[in-house]
Amino acid sequence: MMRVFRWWVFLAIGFYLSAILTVFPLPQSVQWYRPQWMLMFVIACQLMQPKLFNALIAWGIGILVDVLLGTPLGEHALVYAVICYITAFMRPKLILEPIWTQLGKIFLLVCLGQISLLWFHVFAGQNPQTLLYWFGTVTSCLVWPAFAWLLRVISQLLLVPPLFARR
Amino acid sequence: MVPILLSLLLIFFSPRWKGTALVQDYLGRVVEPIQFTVDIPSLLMEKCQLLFRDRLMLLAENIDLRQQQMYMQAKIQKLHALEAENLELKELLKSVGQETESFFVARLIHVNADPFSHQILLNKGKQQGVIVGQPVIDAHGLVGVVLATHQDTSRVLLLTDAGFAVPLQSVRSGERAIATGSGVGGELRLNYVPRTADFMEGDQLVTSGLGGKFPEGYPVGVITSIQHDPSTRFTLIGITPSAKLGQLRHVLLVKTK
Repeated sequence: MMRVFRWWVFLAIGFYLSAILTVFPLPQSVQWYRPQWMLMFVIACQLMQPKLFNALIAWGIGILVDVLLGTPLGEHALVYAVICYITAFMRPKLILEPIWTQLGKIFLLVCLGQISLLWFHVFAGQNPQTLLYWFGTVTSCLVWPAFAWLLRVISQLLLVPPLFARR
Repeated sequence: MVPILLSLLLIFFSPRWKGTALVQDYLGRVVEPIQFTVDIPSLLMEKCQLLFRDRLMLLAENIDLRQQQMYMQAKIQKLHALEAENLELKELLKSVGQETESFFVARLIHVNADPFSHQILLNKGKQQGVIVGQPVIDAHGLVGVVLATHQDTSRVLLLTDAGFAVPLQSVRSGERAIATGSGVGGELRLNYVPRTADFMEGDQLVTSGLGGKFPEGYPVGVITSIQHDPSTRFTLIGITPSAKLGQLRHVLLVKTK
């Protein structure tokens, strides 16, 4: 019971942190380099606690992000839920692999998220018309090790017991 | 499977469903603290700038502002006479009298929204009387329109967004057209303008008041490019907004009486 409670506290803190990073004002020129913090948070949660995190929670996070960014309700929610589901599917193999293979796979996951978001926007008539859009994926990958480490430290401080039971 | 279905339902039905605003309002309360937290550094910066301002500089600025105010007031004197004359003429023409507007000021919350859509966040919300569809202006011209209101914040769609449209009128020729945001490069476009229409580069465009969404006579922009493409039936006209969208700090919300 206590573990579940602590996990939710961790989720709230992680969400708050990622949300701040997501909307922190940046100059127009570096806007596109902003990593996909929230998507990485969802992936990290799924990798850390597969039994306490699921696509429905990812969906809830996505809805909040939609309200935060002013995008149509359900857009980020759908992307996060799908990515979370795929992450859960890939997890058993992913956690056993060396760091570079992991990074490559996470790059693919973030890329998939970016593609689906772009698809939504083009559907709504908002084409970025710049290849800089894809830099978000690269920077996400670059900050991933630090971000994952930070989340792990926070979870350890909150005494959320790590779950290494491999299915 | 359930979340995917849920979000597809939301995407397709939330624009038509009446409860969307209510749901967004409740979720907005969860999100508002984040937006205010992010705004703290820029707020502190502003406060610090105010704190460490030189007294002499403030005095000079004060004198400058006083002069500006006098100049404006002199202009307004003339405006009152013109307004009265206008009303009289309109009455003679038996047309509808001009509506009067009042303003209130809102401050920008420095939050980056989705880089795709051109939106800004204001620090006034439902509680301060902001309503959806309210026009927003700055000292130079139209800025946009209120898209959604939360408890203490409201979201404004800028006029350069691809989803924005406003009916316009040329000050010089009186020709009317509808402009939409281009979504890229901070520009607007005039749509479906026949090649014979009287528009010229440098024309000042103001809101025409048709459609009832925007009050009449607020400057929107200046025509900066006209392309006559023989292969299309319409002229391509680009407008640069008068409002200084890059340097917004405070904006005015227009209230029509």
